[in-house]
Amino acid sequence: MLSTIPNQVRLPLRVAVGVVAQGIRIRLGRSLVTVTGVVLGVAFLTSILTTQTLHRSVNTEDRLREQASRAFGFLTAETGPVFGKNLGVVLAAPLSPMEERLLARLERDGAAELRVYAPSGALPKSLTNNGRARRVRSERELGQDAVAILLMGRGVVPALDWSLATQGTRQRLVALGSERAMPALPSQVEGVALARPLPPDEQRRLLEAARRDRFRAIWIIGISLLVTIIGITNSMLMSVTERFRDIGTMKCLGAESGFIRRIFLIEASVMGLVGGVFGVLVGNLFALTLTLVTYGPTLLGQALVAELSALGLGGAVSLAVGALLSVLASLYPAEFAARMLPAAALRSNV
Amino acid sequence: MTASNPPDAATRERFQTLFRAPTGDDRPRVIRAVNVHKTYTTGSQQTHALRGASLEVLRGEYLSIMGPSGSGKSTLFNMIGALQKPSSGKVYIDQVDIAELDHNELAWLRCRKVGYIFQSYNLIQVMTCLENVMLPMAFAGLEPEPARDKAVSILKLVGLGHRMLHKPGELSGGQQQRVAIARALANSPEVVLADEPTANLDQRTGQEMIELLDDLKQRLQVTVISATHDLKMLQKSDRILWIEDGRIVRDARPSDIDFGSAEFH
Ligand SMILES: Nc1ncnc2c1ncn2[C@@H]1O[C@H](COP(=O)(O)OP(=O)(O)OP(=O)(O)O)[C@@H](O)[C@H]1O
Ligand SMILES: [Mg+2]
Repeated sequence: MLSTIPNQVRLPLRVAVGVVAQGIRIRLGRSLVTVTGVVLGVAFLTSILTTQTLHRSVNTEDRLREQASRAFGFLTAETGPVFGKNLGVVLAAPLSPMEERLLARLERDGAAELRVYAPSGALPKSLTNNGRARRVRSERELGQDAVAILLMGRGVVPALDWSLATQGTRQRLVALGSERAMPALPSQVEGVALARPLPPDEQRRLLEAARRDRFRAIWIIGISLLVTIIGITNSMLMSVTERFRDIGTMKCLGAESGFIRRIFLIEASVMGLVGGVFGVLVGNLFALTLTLVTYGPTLLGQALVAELSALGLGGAVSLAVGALLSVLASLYPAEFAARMLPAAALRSNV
Repeated sequence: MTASNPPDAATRERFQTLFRAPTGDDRPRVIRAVNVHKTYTTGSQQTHALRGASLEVLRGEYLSIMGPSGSGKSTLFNMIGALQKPSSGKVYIDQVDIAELDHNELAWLRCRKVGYIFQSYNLIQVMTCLENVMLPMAFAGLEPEPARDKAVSILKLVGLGHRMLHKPGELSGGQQQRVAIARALANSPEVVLADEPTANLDQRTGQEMIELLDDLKQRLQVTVISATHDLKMLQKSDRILWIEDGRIVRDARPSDIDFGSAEFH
C-alpha cells in the first residue's frame, strides 16, 4: 500500500513566487525592515569598496607623479636646469606610466624642444600633439644642442651608436627613464638611472601601511556583514512567527516542508536583491560624495574614468553579497518554518 | 455538557470492542484507529491526551464526536488527519498506516485524502477566496486553469459564487467558513474533518453550515467527522461517539438518544 503513495508533486515555482509576492506586499512594513537591513549592509560594503578603489586610483596617480618628479630631480641634478634647453629622447616604446608623467613634466616646465628618435614606430600620443616635440631621423641630429639624451620606454632599445648620438650633447649623458638594464655605453658616455627604487625601509613602511589598511577594511566589513546577517535573521524569524498559522494551515492542506522552505528562501533572495540594488546606489553615492569633498572634482573625475570597470565589478560583488547574505541569514528561519509540525503551528494564536 | 464519572475498566473493555463499525456493514473503513495513545511532554510534565482510543469510520458516514473540553478531541483529529503520529497504537487512513509514512508521504495523504475545516476558518488572509480554494489543488499538482474551474464550481456549490475574488477579511464568519468548506473539498478527499466548525458562528449561521455540510455529504458521498456540541449537528449525524479523558466511552445513533436529557443542556 505504501508504494502507491508517490512523493508529493513538485509544486510549480510559480505558486511559491505568488505566495511570496503576496506575503511581501501585505507585510510591507516587515519586508521593509528586512530590506533596510540589506540596504545598510550592502551600502556599507559598497561605500568601502568604492572609496578604496577611488582612493587607490588617486593615490596611484599621486605616487606616479611623485616618482616622475623624483626622476626629474635626478635628471636636473646631472644636467643642470633643463628649462629652455633641448633634450634628445630615444623611444623604445611602450612608455611606463611614470615615464609618461615625466614627459608631461618636462614639457610643462622644462625643455624647449624634445628631439625624438623613434625608429621602431609611431610617437606616443602625448608627444604627437605637442609642438615642442620634433621627430628626428638620424642619431646625429638627436644630440644636437641637447643637454642630454633620455632613453625611455620598455621596448627593445633601438640599435644606435651612442657615441655618435651624444656627440652634439652638452654633456655626454644618457639618462634611463624606466627600470631596466642600462644599454652598453661607450666609456666616455655616462649613464644615469632616473627610476630608482625607494629605500628598503621606506618600501617596508608603505607595505606595512597598505597591509594595515587592508586588514582594517576586512575587519570592518566582516563585522558589518555579521551585524547585517543577524538583523536579517531576526526579522525573518519574526516573519516566520507571524505566519505560524498560515504555515500550519498550508501544511494541513498538503504543503511539503520543501515548499515552506522555498517560500522563505525566495522571499529572502527577492528582498536581498532589492536591498542590494538600493544598497549599491546609496553606498556609491556616499563614497562619491566623500571622495569629492576630499579630493575635489578633477581628481574624482580622473579616478572615476580610470576605475570604471573596477567600480562596476565592486557594485556587482556587493549586489551578489547582499543577495547571498540575505539567503544565508534566512537559512535558519526557513528551516525552522519547514520543520514546524502542522499541529503545533495550528495551535499557536499569533 | 456535564462530564459523567469515568467508566470503570469493564465498561472500557466492552466499549473497546463495541466501537468497531457495525458488523455486517461491508462499506470500506476510511479511518481506523486502534488503541491510540498520545502523550505530550512539556518540560518534565507529561499530558496523556489520548489513552487508548479506538474507532472505525465507514465511507460516507457522518460521525460526530462529543466530549468535554480537554478530553482529547482535537488530538484525536490530529491523529486521524495525519497531522501527528500517535505515541502508540495504530491509525489507518484509507488502509494506510500513517506511522510508516515519511514527511512527504504524510503531506501527500493530507493533500488528497483529508479535508480540514477549522474552528477559526484558517484561511490564508493574503489570498482571495478563489486562491484559497485553489491552493490545495496546486499542492496536488493541478494546473492553474483546471484548478480555477474546479475551485469556481466548488465555491458556487457552497453558495459563494459571487464573492470569489474577495479576501477572507472582507467576508462574514459564515461566509469564511463556507470558503473553508470549499477548500476542504478541493481535492475530493475521502474524509472531511471538522473540529468544532460552528463554534465561532451564531446559531443561525451555524445551522446553515450544518445544512450545507449535510447537503454536500449527501451529494458528494464524502465522509464527515466533526467534533461538536451542536445539537442540530448531532441530530444530523449517523453516529455519535463520546470521548472522555482520552478514551472513547460511548457510541450511539441519534435515534437512540434522548436529546432532551440534561446532558444536552
Ligand atoms: N501540544 C500540546 N502540548 C501539551 N499538551 C497538549 C498539547 N495539545 C494538547 N494538549 C493537552 O492534551 C489534552 C487534550 O487536548 P485537546 O486539545 O485534544 O482537547 P479538546 O478535547 O480538543 O478540548 P477543547 O474542547 O477545549 O478543544 C489537554 O489536556 C491539552 O492540554
Ligand atoms: Mg479542541
